[in-house]
Amino acid sequence: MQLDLPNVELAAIAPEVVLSLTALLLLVFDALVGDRIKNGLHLPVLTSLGLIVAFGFAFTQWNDLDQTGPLMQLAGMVVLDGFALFVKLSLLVFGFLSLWLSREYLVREKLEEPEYYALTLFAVAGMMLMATASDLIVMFIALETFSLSLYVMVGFRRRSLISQEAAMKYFLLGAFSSAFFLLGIALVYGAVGSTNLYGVAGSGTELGMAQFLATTTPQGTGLLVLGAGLLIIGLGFKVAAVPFHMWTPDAYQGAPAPVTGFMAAGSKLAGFAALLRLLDVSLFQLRGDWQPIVIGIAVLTMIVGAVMAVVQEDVKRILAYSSIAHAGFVFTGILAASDRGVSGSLFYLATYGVTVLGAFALVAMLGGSEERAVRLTDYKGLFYRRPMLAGALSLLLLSLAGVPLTSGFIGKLVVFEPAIEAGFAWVVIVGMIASAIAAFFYLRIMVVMYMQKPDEGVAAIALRPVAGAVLALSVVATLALGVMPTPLLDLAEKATIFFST
Amino acid sequence: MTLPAYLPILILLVLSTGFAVFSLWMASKISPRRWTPAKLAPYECGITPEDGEEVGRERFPVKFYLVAMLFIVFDIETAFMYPWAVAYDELKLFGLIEMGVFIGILLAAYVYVWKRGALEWAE
Repeated sequence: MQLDLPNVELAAIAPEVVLSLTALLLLVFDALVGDRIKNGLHLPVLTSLGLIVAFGFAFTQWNDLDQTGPLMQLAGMVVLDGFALFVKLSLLVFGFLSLWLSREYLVREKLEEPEYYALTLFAVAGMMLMATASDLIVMFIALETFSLSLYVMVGFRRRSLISQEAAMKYFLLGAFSSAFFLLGIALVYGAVGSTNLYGVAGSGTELGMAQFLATTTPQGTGLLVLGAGLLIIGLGFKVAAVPFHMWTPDAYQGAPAPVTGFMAAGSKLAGFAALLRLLDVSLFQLRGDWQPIVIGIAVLTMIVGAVMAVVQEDVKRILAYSSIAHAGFVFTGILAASDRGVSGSLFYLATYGVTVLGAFALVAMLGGSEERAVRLTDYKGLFYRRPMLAGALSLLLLSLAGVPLTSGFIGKLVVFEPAIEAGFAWVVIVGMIASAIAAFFYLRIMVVMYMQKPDEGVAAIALRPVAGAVLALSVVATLALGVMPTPLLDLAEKATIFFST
Repeated sequence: MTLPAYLPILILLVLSTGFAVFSLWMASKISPRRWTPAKLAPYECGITPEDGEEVGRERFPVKFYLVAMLFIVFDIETAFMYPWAVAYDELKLFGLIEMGVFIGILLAAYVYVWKRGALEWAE
């Protein structure tokens, strides 16, 4: 018997490997000598080191892209292209911001455990793998890696009933959506004879989805359409698209606020990265079949997200519904099925992530001990108590609303424009109506902060320097990318370099 | 894709549902019912329940679940080693390195579990 040994090019997934190894090292290191270190600073420092080294690897790959061009590696399981690397670099930035914003929260709530940091690292690694996967099986493994980490992180406030409930709901519905995704993979395999998104070059017998579509007749795609529909459902759960959004408000409300921010930023970017590659690249030929589905999802998501947020009284729930509405806006970018749609969606997700991380970090700070003060009435007169924090939150909210001179405005511009170009003007009009509705509840929070007097005897809010600096970074980035979006837009342009066969 | 192509699936669906319903209905009509204490007892593996003992209702420490979970993790490790041992000659150095990575990861997990006190029964 002669075995054909695979050629393992681990360098292709070096950033993911570094993150996983750091997480393992962190767990073992803390278990062995953690008791002897008093302030526990080794945990965030080690995690940051891992993220920085991973960023270095990903950045080198990004620069090498000009010489090597897009590559398919690891026996056709992953691709290294501009798209994957842009998403990876954004995710590493999210991870870094989220890490230091979480630390203040964890210390305050006395929840700081090595597991939190290890799970963050595993989650980021999983999300990155999601963007780089060129096979549905790898995509599924990536999906499970980051989902399992997030289930635990959502329930990290162990003594809080609402956090446990959130984790349970997220876990059950997440497992449910994984089943859809798996059945989708099975149907795609049935139709194509392979789970690969592209097809492995040189293997001759093995077709991929893209190659299959290039060679088949329209009559032969029925099973593939069905499979693609199930894949959209599975990923729709992860990005919180209506009608698969039921878990979102509860999970976002119950999870520790920094985790909520991390979910809103990272989980959405990873889910949309998979959707963009799947729909706009592999199934591009099939767009006549999936575009009606995406139109339905986009319209429902924008409207339901915006309308439901209006009636919420809890700031975390408002932001949860707002994140649903934002998912709808990104779907209009996917709908365009063009390079500009892809780069627009990526710009939107990257800027939205930075903004929403800052917003939820502020909610965590203002919430006080055990996040008691997260209702809208608790924000009464915040401007008179902490003008700086109120100003920062206002700016982030204005960006989420899409006001000019903030990154949110440019983001909306670059996803709506390609959709109009592709002939979906009415979907964009629905999106604009949804934005107008959404502006109401963002302004509502601001009205409460500025135009009502604070109650007597409200506890003071302590702001630590590190979290303050990271928060300032998020606010500055939100503003700067609204005034000067060109550098990031250029990078997103490069991210439309896809691997193709 | 035309609808008649899915007709066989529909027929199969109707036939299989019909068969299940028919079987259950027939069984309830014609099967004899002769209950004995043994038939009425709940099905359990292991020791037969004694009189007066409430099987399955007593409380036992949640730690059993933790131990069971850890057992499965390390049990799977062994299960993976057998195929490697069988194909050891063909896999050569490649197999050795891959197994080294696999066992290394599990070793890290073992150290973590041990040092975090998951293997301590009494606390």
